[in-house]
Order: sequence, then structure tokens, then C-alpha cells
Amino acid sequence: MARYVLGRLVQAAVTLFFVALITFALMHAVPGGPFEARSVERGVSEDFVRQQEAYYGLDRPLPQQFGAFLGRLARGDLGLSFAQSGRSVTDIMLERMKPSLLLGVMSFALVLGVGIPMGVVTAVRRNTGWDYLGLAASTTLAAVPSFVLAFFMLLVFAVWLDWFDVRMGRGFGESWGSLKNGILPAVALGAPSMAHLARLTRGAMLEVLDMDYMRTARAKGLSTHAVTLRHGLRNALIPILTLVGPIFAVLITGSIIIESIFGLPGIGSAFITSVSQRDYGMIMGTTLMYAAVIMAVNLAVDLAYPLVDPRVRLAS
Amino acid sequence: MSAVAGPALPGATLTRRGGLYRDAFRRLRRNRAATASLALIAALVFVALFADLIAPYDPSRQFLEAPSGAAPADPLALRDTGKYEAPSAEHFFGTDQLARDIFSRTVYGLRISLAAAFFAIAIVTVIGVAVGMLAVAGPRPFDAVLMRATDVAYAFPDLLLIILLSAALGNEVLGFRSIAGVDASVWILFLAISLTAWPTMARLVRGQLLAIRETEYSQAARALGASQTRIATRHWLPNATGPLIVEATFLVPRAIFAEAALSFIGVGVNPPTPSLGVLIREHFDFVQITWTGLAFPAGILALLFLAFQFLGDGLRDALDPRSR
Repeated sequence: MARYVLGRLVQAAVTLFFVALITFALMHAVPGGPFEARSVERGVSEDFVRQQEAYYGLDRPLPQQFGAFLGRLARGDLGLSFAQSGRSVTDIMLERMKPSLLLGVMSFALVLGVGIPMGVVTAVRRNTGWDYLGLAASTTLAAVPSFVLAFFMLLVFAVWLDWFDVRMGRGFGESWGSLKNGILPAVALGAPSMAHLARLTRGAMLEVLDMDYMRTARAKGLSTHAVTLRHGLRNALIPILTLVGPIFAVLITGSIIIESIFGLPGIGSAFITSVSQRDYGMIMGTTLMYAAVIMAVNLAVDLAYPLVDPRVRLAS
Repeated sequence: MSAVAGPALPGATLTRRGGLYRDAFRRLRRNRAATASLALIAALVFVALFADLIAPYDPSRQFLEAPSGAAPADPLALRDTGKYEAPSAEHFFGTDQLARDIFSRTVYGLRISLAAAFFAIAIVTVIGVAVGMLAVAGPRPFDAVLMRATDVAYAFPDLLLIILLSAALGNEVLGFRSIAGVDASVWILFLAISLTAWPTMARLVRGQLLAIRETEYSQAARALGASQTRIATRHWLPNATGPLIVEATFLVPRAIFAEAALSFIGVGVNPPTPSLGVLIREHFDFVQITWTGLAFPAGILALLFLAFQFLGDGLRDALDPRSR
């Protein structure tokens, strides 16, 4: 177990190195540096731009800059932001992480909390009105792009019905009441994954429901409830667990779009502004954080397999 | 004898191969959702191919009825100038904020998005098959490189990579601002999409080939003295095609969706190129004045997404001989 985790961590470190290398190469390939991009609008002299670049070490050869970045990263220092002078990248990221994390938790709760029960109910009541309703709902939700759904919900619930403040980002996550503002973004972000999970759960449950042990459990006199959940869902969990990793990646990637639409000041929207501002430190920091989170979730999912299915052995 | 048996062999392989696909098509036709999707996709591809004939107007032509010099403060008053017109016999989907025909723009948008998606798939398939094959049949280090590359691709959020790549690739291809009449930003965006999608395809090819390499017919071919190239192209590839087709089918909606999402938040295709994403973006801005302009491109996007999803599901079942 410890050996397996250690092996995976080493592998993750190698992967992170390549993610850093690719991101570094690409962002330096983007035309215009962080100070040139802003000098046009500010009317700053060429000399000053060179001075600033020298101050931040941007005049050194790229391999040297990358080496310096790695050295600082090893000490947990991501450097200073170019766009928000005087603030460190770590500071900004910690501040921006809160709304993203809240949004992620809310939509993940929606995906699991609604998707799995929906799949179970539609499987148990297969070929009834409930099943067809669930199938129609999940098919539609899976087909409508999340940003289209987001805007229709904004229009209906925030503009026409006025249930929500249109500017959702304001104070999101600062109080319990402000969590209400996260409902629409969380639904928009999670709905397609929820639909996907509901369909998968339905399929997995249908396969399990016909098993001999289900009949045995029922013959034993167990209640329908216990049969469905303890014998049925328990065995359908493996394919469900397989989808958790990809769903997490979809939620994380999707949050980039959803945050921009709803004006949530999260990591995703920070990344998009940092690309247009050529804020190198922020680009590196956000990308590495995303990659690290995705790998951590995948590791957690793999570690959960033996808990769900005792037959699974972790191979290093 | 041998002179007769020689030419007969390739012929026999061919009929058997045609047989598999005819079989698969028969299975596909029994799947109603997949057949309907295939018909819908065929219709949309037809519309995209003959966009010039189907679209009544040029997508960038403006139908201004009054000089647009002094714009009134109230956007609703702009209706009189030919902007934001409701659907009519003249403009099936109405007109947009610049008094352009939304139907014509949607038809051209469909052409651009579909063409770019197929372009992305071609790149993904070529790179994916080449790398996957090299990983299995080529020198040993290739395999390690591919596995690392896919590890990185799985950890790297694809939208981040697409945004970075398309920013790095800039606004022109080899100095051209437009290729085949389509803005270079479209090709660059879809190139970026395919550059993030190939590792999945390569991994799939690798997995398929690893399994096929151990089959008896593959070993028989080797025992008969067939060259590595011949085994790879004549025995491995044809037998790995099924899952490749399925994966490519699922890639279409993903590519189109990525374009739409990125154009929507303003980091994708440059307006005024009428890709589906740009259209949805532009029409959102005046959705409160007239919602039809938004509903049509968004609806077509949803239809495309759904149709390719169902077709992919159907093809997966149809192309797998073991599935019933």
C-alpha cells in the first residue's frame, strides 16, 4: 500500500514536471511579454519595460528561467504576480481558490446526490413513466452545452423571476447566505455530468438487478430497500467509481467556462485573465494546481477500488 | 495450383472485410436512435456542403434599412433600421445586431464548425494511429514516451492547454490570416483541440494493437514470414479500426463543444467568423430583445452533440462482433 502510493507520487512528480515544462514553453511562445502587453495601454517607455523585465529576471535565457522557477517551486514559492504588483501568486491563488472550491463541492454534491439516486430509481422502475422521464431529462441535459444552460438559467431565474442576484460573484463564499448564489453555477456545471452518471448508474444497476444473489436476498425475506441498496447499489458501485475521476476532471475544466459566465472570482477566471495579461507566475501556478488536483483525485479513486471491491489488488 | 491460390487470397480477405462492415451496418440500422442520428448528421453535412446554395444571403451582408449614423439610446428602437428583426419569410431566423441574416450565418456557422471538427479528427487519427503503432511496433523508447505523454495529457485540463496553445499559435498560419476562406483562428483553435486529444487516441490504438499482437492470425502472419510493416498495415490496423471509428465519432461533438465554449468566453474563434460558438456568443448579448437568434445555433449545436453521441453508442455496439 505505502509502496504503491509512493510509486504513484513519484510518477505524479514526473508528470507535473512535464506539465510545467509544456506550460512554460507555451506561455513564452505567446507573443508579447507581461510588460509589453500593458505598456501599450499605459504609454510606458521601452527602457522601463526592459528594466522591469530585468528586475523579474525575464531577460535571462529561458532554460535558466525555468530552472529558477523549479528551484522556487521546490521551496513552495511561486513568485510574484506581474499583473497585480506586490502580491505573490500563492496569495492570489489562495484567495481565488475559495469560490472555485465551493462551486466544485456544490456541483459534485449535485452530481452524486442526484445522479446516483436518479439512476437507481430509473433502473428499479424500468420501462415505467419514471424511467422515460429520467431518460428524457438525462439525455437533454447531456446534450445541452453547459454554457447555454447557464445563460438560460441566468435569464429565467435571475432576470425574469429575480430569484438571484445577477452578479453572483459578489461576496460568494463569504457568508452562508451567499452560497445561494452558487446554485445556478453549480447546476450549470454539474448537470451534464449528473445526467451522464445517472445513465451509467441505471445501466450498472440493471445488470446487477438480474443477478442470482439479488433473488437470493429477496427470497431470504429482506426488504426491497435493503436488497436494492445493500446488495444492488453496493455491487453497481464499481463502474460508478470509474466515472468519478473523469467527472472530476470535467467539473474542474468546466469551471473555467462557468466562472467566466457567472463572474465568479475563482481560479478558472483567474487563469483566463492571466493568459491575456501574460502573468507568467499565475499561469504556471494555476495550471500546476489543476494538474495536481486531478492527479490527486485519480489516486484517491484508485485507492478506493479495493474498498468497494475486495477482489481488487493494487499493483505497483 | 499456387498461381490460382495466390490471387484468390487477397480477394477472399476483401470479401470477408466487406462482410464485417455490411454486418455492422445491418446491426446499426436496427438501432433506431443511431439510424435517426445518422440521417440527421447526413442532412446537416449536406447543408454544410451546399451552404452557398442553401443560405439565401452572404453571411456578412447587412440589411440596414435606414442610415445607422445616429443610433438611438433605446436598443428596441433599432428594430426600424433592420436590426434584431423577428423571423419572417425574408429572414427565416430574423436578423442580428448588425442586421445580418441569422439563418445564413447559422448555415455557414454549421459548415465552419463541422469542417473544423472533421479536420481535427483527421489530425487526431493520423497522429494517434502513427504514435500508437510506433509504441507497439517501433523501438522500445517510443512506448515509454507515449505513456508519459498520455499521463501528462490526462493530468492537464484540456481547456487550459487549448487556451495556451491557441494563444501561442497566434492569429495566423504561416502568415495567412484566412485559409480556404475561413479565418485562421478557426483552424488554429481546432489544431489546438486535436493536439490535446491525440494521446487518448494513441493510447486506444496501443491497447488494441497489444491485444491483436497476441492473436493467432497475427502470429501466423509472422510465421509465414510477413514483414513487420505488412503485418502492421494489413493485419493489425484493419482489425483495430472498429474502436477507432467509435472514438473518432465521439471526438466530433467534443471538438465542436470545445470550440463553442471557448468562443463563448471570448478566447476562441475571432468574430465576425460565424462559427457556432461565435454565433451563440453574439446572440446572447441581445437575447432579451429577440431570443430566436440564440435558440437556432444553440439548438443545432445540441442536435449535433446528441446525434454524434447516439451514433457513437450505436457504432460501438454494431462494430463489436461480440456484442449482441
